[in-house]
Amino acid sequence: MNSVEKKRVAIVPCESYEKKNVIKAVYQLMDLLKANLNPIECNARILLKPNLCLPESPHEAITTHPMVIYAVKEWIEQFSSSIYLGDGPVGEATADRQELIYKMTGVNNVIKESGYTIKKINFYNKLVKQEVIISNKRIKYYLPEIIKDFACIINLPKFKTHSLMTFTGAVKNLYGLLPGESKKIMHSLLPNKYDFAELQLDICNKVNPSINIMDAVYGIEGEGPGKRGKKKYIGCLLASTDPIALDMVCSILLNISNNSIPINAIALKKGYMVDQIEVVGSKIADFIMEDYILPKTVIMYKENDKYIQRIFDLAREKVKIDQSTCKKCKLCISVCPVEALSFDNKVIVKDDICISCKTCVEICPEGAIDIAYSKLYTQIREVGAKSNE
Amino acid sequence: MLMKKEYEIKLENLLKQYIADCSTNQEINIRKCNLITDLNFNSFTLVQLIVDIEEAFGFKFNDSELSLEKFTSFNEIIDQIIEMEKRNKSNE
Repeated sequence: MNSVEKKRVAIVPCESYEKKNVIKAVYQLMDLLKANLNPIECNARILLKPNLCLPESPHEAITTHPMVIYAVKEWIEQFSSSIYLGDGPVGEATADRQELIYKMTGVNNVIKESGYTIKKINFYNKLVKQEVIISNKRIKYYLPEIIKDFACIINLPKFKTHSLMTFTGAVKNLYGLLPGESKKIMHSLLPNKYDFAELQLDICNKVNPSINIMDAVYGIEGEGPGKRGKKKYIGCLLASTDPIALDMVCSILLNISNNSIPINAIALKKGYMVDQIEVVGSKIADFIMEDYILPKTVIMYKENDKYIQRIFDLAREKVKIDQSTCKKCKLCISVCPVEALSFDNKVIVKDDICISCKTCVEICPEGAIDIAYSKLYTQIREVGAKSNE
Repeated sequence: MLMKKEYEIKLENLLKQYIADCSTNQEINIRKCNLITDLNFNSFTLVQLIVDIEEAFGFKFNDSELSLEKFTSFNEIIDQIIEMEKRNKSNE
């Protein structure tokens, strides 16, 4: 196999989020990947998929830094000005929360600075059902239909540890495309992290991003991927046309084996060939971190899989219809994106299909629909909170 | 269906494993103690106990019927187990 056929992963230093540094690094990365890049058609519709999981400041290093988004926009503008951006946050995917995230993560500032070249999109107007068999279970999940309309998806993950999955990188970032609460439901359906890794790889395969650019100037170590983790300086950007190759190179930076990262371990089990990966650009040895702190829970989950599964079951919010208030207008049925509601003399909810998106709650003119946790889950959260005091 | 006494022995043996993990040196009467205040059960231990009971007795509690009040003492748990067994029996 010659080097042109290999899956390149480019790595370049990027000392800070200063605009000129990041733009230079992104151009260097794309230059290094030339051999692997498919040509981007003039004015093709391009989707940027950063990690905007939580409404946090870019300084927290939990989300993709806005300057990385800006630099990628600068590079794309050589080919196209049809640039869109979107992500699905953790938790509620309401328009208000989405807007709060764009504001807090600095995305709105970048959009303004780009002269509104980047347009925000709402993923969840229409969803398309996907199916995959994992450990003999038929798993159904939904992806936004709109992603099919893009000629090129550019995945912009953040380098972070993950309490369940050890590491969240290019493959895991695409999980953000699943709508709202359905992310949590998938955890409950697939509590075993290796099964969950299979789902991640299936999503990645179906979304098939053209380019993956990892923000690793600052990342998260310890109990990531959210606020419980700690900000960590890494000082580089990485890119590849292959998200799995990119994540495998990240395991080298973390100084751990691919088998320690469930997504990488499952990819290897499915026949992914590590020797097809070629690292180009800077010397990877310069970025290996021997002191990178991994999540403690990585071990805890292994020992307690069945209990964690039950917690996920309990933690699922369930839709409740107040039949005495319901006027049977069936508006809720008409707006449900996943057909979890049906009518048989009264509105019926199928808990196993419901993705807790709350569209029905919002549309009901009678306020007859509510969504709530089970009583025990609410109570044990209180016990947990007290014991942490 | 087992006799109430057999349920009690089975549950007692199960709870003893939790006491073995408990750091307290006091003499504990499993049948009279409060799991949260006397045994310092936390939210995770409670879920563990529920799952272990389900495995030991071969049924699954309905999530919507679960509440903390039903799992804080030996007698309350026994009542839950007998109720579940009765229900399963009548569904057969």
